[in-house]
Amino acid sequence: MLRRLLFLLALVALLALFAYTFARWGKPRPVAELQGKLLAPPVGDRGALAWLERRPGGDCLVVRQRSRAAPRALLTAAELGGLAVVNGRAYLSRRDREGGPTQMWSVQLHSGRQKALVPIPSPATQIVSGDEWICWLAERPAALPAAPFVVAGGPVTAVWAMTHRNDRLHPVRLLSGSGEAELLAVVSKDLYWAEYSGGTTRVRRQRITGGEVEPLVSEPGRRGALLLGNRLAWTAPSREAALPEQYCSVKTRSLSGGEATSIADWLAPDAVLLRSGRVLYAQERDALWQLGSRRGQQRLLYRASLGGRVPTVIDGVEYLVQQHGRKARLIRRGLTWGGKLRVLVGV
Amino acid sequence: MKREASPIVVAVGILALLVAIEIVYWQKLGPAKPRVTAATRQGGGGSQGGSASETPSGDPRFVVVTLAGAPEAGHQDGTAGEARFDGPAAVCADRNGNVYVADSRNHAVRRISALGLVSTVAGGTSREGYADGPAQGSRFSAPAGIALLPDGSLLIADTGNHRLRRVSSAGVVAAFAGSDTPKDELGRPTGGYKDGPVMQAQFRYPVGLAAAGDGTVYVSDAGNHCVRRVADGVVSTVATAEGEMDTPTGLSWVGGILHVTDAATGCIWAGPATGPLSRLEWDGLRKLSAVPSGVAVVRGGILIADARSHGLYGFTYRSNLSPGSPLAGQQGTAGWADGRGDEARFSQPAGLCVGPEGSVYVADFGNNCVREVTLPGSLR
Repeated sequence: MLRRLLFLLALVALLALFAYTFARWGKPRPVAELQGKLLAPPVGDRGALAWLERRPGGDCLVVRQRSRAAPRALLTAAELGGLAVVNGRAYLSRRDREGGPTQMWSVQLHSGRQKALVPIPSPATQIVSGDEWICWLAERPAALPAAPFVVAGGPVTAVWAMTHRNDRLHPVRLLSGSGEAELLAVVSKDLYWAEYSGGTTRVRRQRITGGEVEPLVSEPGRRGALLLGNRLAWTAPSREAALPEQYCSVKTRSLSGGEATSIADWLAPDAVLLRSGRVLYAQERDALWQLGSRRGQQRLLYRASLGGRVPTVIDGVEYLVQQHGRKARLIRRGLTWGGKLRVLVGV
Repeated sequence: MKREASPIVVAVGILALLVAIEIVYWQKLGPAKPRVTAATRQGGGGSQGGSASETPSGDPRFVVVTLAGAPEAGHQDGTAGEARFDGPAAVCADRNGNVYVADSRNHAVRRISALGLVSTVAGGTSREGYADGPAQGSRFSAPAGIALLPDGSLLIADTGNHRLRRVSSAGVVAAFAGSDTPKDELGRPTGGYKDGPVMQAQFRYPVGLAAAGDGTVYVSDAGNHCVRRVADGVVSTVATAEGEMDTPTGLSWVGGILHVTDAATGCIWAGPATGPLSRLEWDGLRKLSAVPSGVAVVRGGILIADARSHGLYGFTYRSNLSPGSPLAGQQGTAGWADGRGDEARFSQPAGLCVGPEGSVYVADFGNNCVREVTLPGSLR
């Protein structure tokens, strides 16, 4: 009798496990409640997750060192900027008081060990890292903020670089406009970025050590782009819709040249491209698509809107910021089988 | 006994695991409702300002036409319709009806002939820089001011180079005033402040220019928060009666009286060209939180371009000529439309100048074109 009861109990528990898995499979989970404004999308490496928050007391580098650990502020300063993680080491700019000197800073995510690297002219707004080089965008504010029609006094955006080895500072390029550029990646000694000016988005490449700027892609309107292995993917006006600006398509081409291939169409005009490994996703306001390498291979992953923003994908898990009442929180949702399993069991 | 215990361990273990997973997540995630607010909604389009029926519009007695250019930015010479500008910041006109333009993002000086043909007078190699010599090979850095000297040569505020340059009638570019200043980490000159002989003086972001009949030149030195005077080969600073300017931009000299727009404080400074200059404030400008960018003295009053509300406003020393309403353009609505003053639309109008026949030319910075405004007999 007891034996039957125990087996029944085990069966119920198994059923509960299945029901739980069924109910929770693919559902989002909260990661942390934000205590300020998110400055940079989360970045992750070796199980650790890091992000920048602007809190009332200053900017914080918040790190969740293990999957179940509570997030904690590893670094607080008057102004932190940019964030990239390479080999468990976070790179960011740090300024301790307004108008004071700014330094490039590194923090070991697991040990919390910190190191000042080189002094830099102004805080970084975005950082990308390759095997050898770290590049960042820095914006100098307008000299004449009250006179936006005076071009010369306008804000200046510049790209800087330093090597992992000797931490030398190296100006790469002056970009037009302010907040109109996005660094895409550093591959070997080449820097890739997208620049929006005069109603056109242009993706360009330049050797960090010098040389001419190589135009890769030019599309009308504000467009997104990213590097996918040795291919470039970007959004473009729809080729099939009667009103091309009301929908967008996604194109790819090899970094070494060749024809552009359209791999998706009829996406929302503000769709954002995301990448996890070599898989490409398109995030619309209320849907997430996984894109294939050819037309017709796109697959709808989620339809429901989470009301989230600033999406980023790390190891098959999508991270979003969601408003929850008056507060914002960081949530995550699995995209792949592995990602969904990790979110389900909380690792 | 051991065989009977294992299902219990499994069951309790599974249940404990489920409970543990739920406990790990400190907050249960309910079904999130999408929150689409005005701030997060993108691609909604719509007008950039208020609706036409609610927003004060211009005076139908004014007529606005596009002299050359179109909102599409570029650098192209040719007929008025074909020509393209990129960020025209200032204009001036000669007696023959030619209009000269400081084409700031093209780092060029352009001319619109009386017949409507647009040509590049100097600079325009698309890359900023500094080079004197024949106009075709010369280089500028974001010029934002332009004026005609009595001898017919052009004076350019080479704003990014913190210098004044002169383009002679023979087409040769030469330094007029200003000297080298220290460079920043990107190799760009930072400007400076120094009075004295013209080739030793320093400026910081010179913007507006005006030339008096005797060849004296007035410069709104925006980065140094003051107006400078260049006379007899010497640069000096024009005093203010009380307080200090913040960001002087547009500048006009008529009959020995200077008018200077202050883009940061939204007021106009005026006074004898020898100084001191006094602050003029009108309720109309203050209520608009205006960014006055250009000024021209016309019959019956003072015309001011407001880069923030995208309109042209008229004032006398005593009053606002059209309280709360622009004389041309629609308050707070950027756009590109020709027609009567109430139909016309501007986008960040910047420099103004008066033409030989009394019409006013506007450097329509945001629309990348030059506009001509025909005024009624008098502003009043």
